[in-house]
Amino acid sequence: MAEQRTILIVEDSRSLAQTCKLQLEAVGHRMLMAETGGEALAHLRDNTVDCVLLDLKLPDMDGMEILREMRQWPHAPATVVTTANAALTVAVEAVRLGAFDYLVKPFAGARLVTTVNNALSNVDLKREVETFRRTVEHAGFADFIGRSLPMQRVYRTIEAAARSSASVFITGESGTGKELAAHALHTLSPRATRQFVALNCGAIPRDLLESTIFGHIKGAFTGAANDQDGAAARADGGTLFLDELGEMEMGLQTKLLRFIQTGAYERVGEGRLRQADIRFIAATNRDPLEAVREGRLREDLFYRLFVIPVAMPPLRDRGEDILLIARRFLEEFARAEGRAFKSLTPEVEARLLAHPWPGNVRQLQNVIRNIVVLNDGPAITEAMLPALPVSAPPPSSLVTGRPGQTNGHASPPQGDLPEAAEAIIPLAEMERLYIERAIDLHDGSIPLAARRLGISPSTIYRKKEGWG
Amino acid sequence: MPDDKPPAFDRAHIADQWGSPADDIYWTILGIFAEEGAKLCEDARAALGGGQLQALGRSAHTMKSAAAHVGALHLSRCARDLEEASEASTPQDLAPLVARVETAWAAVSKRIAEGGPMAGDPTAEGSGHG
Repeated sequence: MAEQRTILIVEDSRSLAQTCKLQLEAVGHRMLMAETGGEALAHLRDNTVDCVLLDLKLPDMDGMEILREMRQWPHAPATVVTTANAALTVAVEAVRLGAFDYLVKPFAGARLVTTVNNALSNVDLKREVETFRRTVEHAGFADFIGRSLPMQRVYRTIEAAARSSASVFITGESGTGKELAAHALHTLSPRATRQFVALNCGAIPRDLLESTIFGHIKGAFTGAANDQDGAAARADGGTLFLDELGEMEMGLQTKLLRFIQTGAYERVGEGRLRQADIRFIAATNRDPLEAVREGRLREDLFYRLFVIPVAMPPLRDRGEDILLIARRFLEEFARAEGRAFKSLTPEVEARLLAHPWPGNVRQLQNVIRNIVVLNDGPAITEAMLPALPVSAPPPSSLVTGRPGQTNGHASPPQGDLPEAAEAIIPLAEMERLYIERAIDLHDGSIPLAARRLGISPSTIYRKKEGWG
Repeated sequence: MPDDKPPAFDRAHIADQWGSPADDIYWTILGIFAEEGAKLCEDARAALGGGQLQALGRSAHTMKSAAAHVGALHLSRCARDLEEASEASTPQDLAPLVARVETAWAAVSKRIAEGGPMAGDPTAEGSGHG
């Protein structure tokens, strides 16, 4: 087979397990071994397994229990049951619980290899059909909209990675859907019944980030009036998404690395270790290797998290997805605003397709919202389009800036100035809108927004407090 | 006892499952089974001594499958009888069945030490391998 697949052998007899291992390794598969049900479930949690060869009689549990557990997973591996009991009722029950086939011991090597390969083909086919069905029926996947080839690749990676607990590192420009990808990884995983906790490391004041992640006890610092759990406790059994990891200070990165390696952490001020079982997903809109080179991201932490990389494509590389997304937003905003909009004219479609969208989906969303709020009609016409700057997209390794910028700074938005006195809005409100827009365009990062606005992050935090 | 007389290995079964001559993996697995079988006999004896009938049944179950896998069918049948009896018998009733498994194992172990299932059979292919 061209592609190496991972097979988990769950068998307490060493000679039987080794036979299966040698025979399946000989045809190019990667093997994982478990002698007990507990070991098997741990392997299934920590690895992306394509097929399980499952003995029904295990020292610590009945193999049927593992089948029942896997049946609840959205993307369970293919399972071939092995049993010394040739009774038809056992096989029927196993198949009813989701097994692809069963082998009665003793079985010949050729039969084993054929059965496992058939099971792999079957599960591949099922997954392809499922992905295709979702993509075609809903023009998307999970909460994504789009069926372009770059997104199909993202969907397939998410589907495959969701089944394991391996760490995932998502890269992509602002507005490309990194948090959506992280959420999809969680909701399609066996951890979906537990919490998905998302933290934007760039949006939380540095001196509060440790307590936000790990929690604190009463009196640990000024303002710590009560014991409080952090994200680690909330995400126990689930998923912790750390966006803008490069914004985390190095001392805290060391603590995070220890937490990822051991599952152990301390609430601030407590001095007692706690344990949590967490799947980690990290993201950044900058080149993480550049952050490592610049000393802003620990290399060991990066490699600990960079197990499964997911690169979100920029909107300009997604072709017709731009129109699918625009139509979906149009429908949504028209309904919310009570407008009659139903479609885009061909000219508008051509303009949208030609635009480089440096702010990606978020920018497209804002453009459609702007049009719907300020206009009405059955179709969006070219005259309704706000100015769409046509500057070249920024290099993907750099933080996305405002369109039309020169020398790193934006020109004043002359074309947006009000033409009537009634249209002038209070300066404080304008400031608020402008700051919120800057934060939004920087994927929620206050430090990055502050840098772009030429003010300190603490100014933004102070203002946000005032806004309530 | 008539049960002690059947051959330790069933050569037709080995040819059917592993080819003729048996492939290299068979000889590797036979080496592993030589250690595993001894351990399973020890475990069964200890479980019987401790009155742990569930553990005894587990050892017998594993021996049943592992022995059949390498073609030691008589040993596999003895282990099957022990496994079935362990579900509804007393330690006293099970002692002879444990002894029967041990006797069958001794014959298999001896044959492995002598060169494997085909040892001493000039017509058998693969004799003396491993």
